[in-house]
Amino acid sequence: MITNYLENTFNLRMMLKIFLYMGNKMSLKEIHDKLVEIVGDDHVSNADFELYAYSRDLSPATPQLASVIVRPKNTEEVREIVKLANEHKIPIYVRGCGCSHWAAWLPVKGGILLDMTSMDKIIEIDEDNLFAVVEAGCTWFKFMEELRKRKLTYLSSEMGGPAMTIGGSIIKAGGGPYGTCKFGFHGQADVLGLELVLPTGELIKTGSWAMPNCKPFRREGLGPDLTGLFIGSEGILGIATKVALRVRPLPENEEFLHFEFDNWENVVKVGDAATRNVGDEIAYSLDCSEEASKVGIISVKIHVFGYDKVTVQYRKRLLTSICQRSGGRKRDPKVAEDTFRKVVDGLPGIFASGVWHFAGCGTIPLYELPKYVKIWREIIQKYSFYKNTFGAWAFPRGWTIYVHMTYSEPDEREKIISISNEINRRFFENGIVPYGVGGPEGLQPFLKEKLGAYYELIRSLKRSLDPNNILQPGILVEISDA
Amino acid sequence: MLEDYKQQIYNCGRCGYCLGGYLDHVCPSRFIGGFESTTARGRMLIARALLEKKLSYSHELARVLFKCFLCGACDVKCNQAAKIRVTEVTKAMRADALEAGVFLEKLVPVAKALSERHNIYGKPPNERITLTHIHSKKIETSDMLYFPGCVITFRYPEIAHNTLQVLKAAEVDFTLLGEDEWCCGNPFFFMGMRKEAEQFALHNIEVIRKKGAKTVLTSCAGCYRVLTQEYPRIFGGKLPFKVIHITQFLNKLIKEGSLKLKRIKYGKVTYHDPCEIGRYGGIYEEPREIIQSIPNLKLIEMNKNRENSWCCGGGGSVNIVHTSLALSVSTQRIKQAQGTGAKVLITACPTCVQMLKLASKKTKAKIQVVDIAELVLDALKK
Repeated sequence: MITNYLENTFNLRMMLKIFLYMGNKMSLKEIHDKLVEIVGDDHVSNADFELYAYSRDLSPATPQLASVIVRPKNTEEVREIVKLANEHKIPIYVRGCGCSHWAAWLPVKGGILLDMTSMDKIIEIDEDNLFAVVEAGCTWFKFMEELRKRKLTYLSSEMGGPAMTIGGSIIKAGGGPYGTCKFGFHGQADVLGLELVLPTGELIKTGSWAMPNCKPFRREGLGPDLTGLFIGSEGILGIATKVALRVRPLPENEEFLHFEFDNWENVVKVGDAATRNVGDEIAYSLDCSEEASKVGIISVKIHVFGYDKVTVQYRKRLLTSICQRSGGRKRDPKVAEDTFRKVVDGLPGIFASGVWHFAGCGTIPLYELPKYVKIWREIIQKYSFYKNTFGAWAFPRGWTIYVHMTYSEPDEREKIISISNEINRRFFENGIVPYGVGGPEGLQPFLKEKLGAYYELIRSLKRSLDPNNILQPGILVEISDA
Repeated sequence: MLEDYKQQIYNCGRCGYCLGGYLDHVCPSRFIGGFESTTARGRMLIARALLEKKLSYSHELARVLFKCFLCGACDVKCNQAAKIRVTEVTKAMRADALEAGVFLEKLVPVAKALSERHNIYGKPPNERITLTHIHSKKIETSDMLYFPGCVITFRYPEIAHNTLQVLKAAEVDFTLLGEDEWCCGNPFFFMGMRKEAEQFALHNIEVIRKKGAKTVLTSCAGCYRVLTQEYPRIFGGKLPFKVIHITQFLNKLIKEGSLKLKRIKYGKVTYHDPCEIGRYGGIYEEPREIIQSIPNLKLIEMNKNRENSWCCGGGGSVNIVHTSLALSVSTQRIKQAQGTGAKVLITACPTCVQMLKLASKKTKAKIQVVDIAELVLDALKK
């Protein structure tokens, strides 16, 4: 009876959540007051309604309530918050604009939820050395718009809607169709460096940026590639506060192609031809999809860009010929142009409206694509669930695949979770590399056992950098394992 | 009732499209608030928690709900995503908060003034504009009735005078309700006081009907929205009169040749779309056509125009509860207007005029805020 009462009493539940985790002696009010000292009272809130407003990402995961929301304005504030949290063993979860779709920041252990969107400045665009430094809460959209004004671009490969932040995207190694066919995720090495606050409050920079007085002009610095260590770390090893990125002139020439195919084996042929000359891939973006309600009709959209017209035209002719030889039927290229224009601007132009869930997201080798399509088709048949799409984006010698589902809440939530679990399980059995793992309601249940020693290595890294396990507890590494 | 919007609330997929790519360039509420509770998707999660009885209304929550300008920018965005009428959900939350006994103290004087004097300023009803202010002759009945609304009547009577001078120039007869005119009810809708709003609506419908007017003309964007969108719902069908906004009517008069506009020395001008005729009413082209019908006037658009327009800061009763925050939104709009290089900012709503003039004065901006009727009258005089 008493337990039930506590469960239903919001503030008490929150306090219990944080105290049970921390075992510390600081009251919620004391923590709140300390945070106010650091960031000011208009950047801290523990109002009950605010916690609900921050309780979900794009996934159907159970809402999770933080104990307090903090919106830091600069790196120093982040450091002070982390030091406070580390001293008192308070969990910190880090949220960009909340667009993750596998519970990547949901505060499963309560504590502090950092909303990084007040740190959205573009610090520097070096038009000579062609790099830019942005705060982690800056969105891809804003960055790309500001670059465009200078006739520059970044090879944005992310596809999380206009509100998606650069920090959130990179720390989870996000991907999308834009530019990926030619340059891979984030242009492979185009993230030149990170500024990070470590779980114990130290500030570090990676790559050439780590050297005294050195600009972030180069990914490789002294020793191992520590930038790579943090990309995809899901925020468990440090909080990215600034990101340095390679930028390049905006190509003036581009072409779009749109074809329709009957089978994925032939689509693979196009992916093969487009990426065969590794390092000199002929397509910039290659995006393919099949709707569950129209099985056997595969839409293939291609974006070709370049710095000289002759090359772009040559590649367009070449790709057209490859598609036609592979059985593709020409369709309106404006559809392809429209899709690629919307990648950074926003998903609603691309996917059907409604509540979305993504399953089976990850990367696979180039020639294994049909195997995954077969599994997907079996599952949708089994569940008679047709409000979904199978998609694949090419990158050099591989594909990023996903299943995008539209469903209605709350009625279809359980069903969508069942379908999603089955897709994830079957895809993982076949060797897919997921974008990220996320929390307990993310992909953890499917991966831990399979990763073995690799999982142990991640655990060890986590323990050595974050001895008090304050950063993103329960994300990527299970809470009990940290 | 929030319950009426349940399915819409559950349809929110939290995609963040309502925020836009600059995060605080679409929604003025997010611009002043920063936290998720001031975003459309955050509000949907709050609404859901309220529906599921995990949350209850509090004064603190009410203060956040009154950070929403009800400008409809999120509605436009969400129309491409989950198609949620976020502004309607927000108004339902305000109404439910009141039902739960949560009403903000700063709103009390306005509610009291409305209830006692039928206008938001608590002014005596006999100070309403009457025909003797305008005409030498008294027209008791006419096909056209001019409905100035509270802001024009008590704060910017010159807008009514300019409008009616223009109508006279076009030889259009009109009448007024005078003391019988009550507030259109918009502030009541904003404050969640639906019953009172409905009472005011029914009163106005009745007195207009008794006047025998076939067309109601208004210069106020708020009155226009309420008369065209709320009144038919309350009345239970088509109103016994047509409602038009001054921009629609002046544009018609100009096109018909009833008003011949001459050169004026305004130079470069820009136009601010009032939310309640723009996003809510789809009136985007008429004011622009009026401006462009004046020789030698150069209209330069702000980046945020038409359905992407930025609120003047006067919407949703935010300026009553969070006065300085509302003014920061107005200031933002003035900056956007200045960015065009225009020296004159034209608009077509007295609340927009009020907020933009305040912001212009506060920031010492070298831009003049002009109501569209004043512009047309100037172009008739020269």
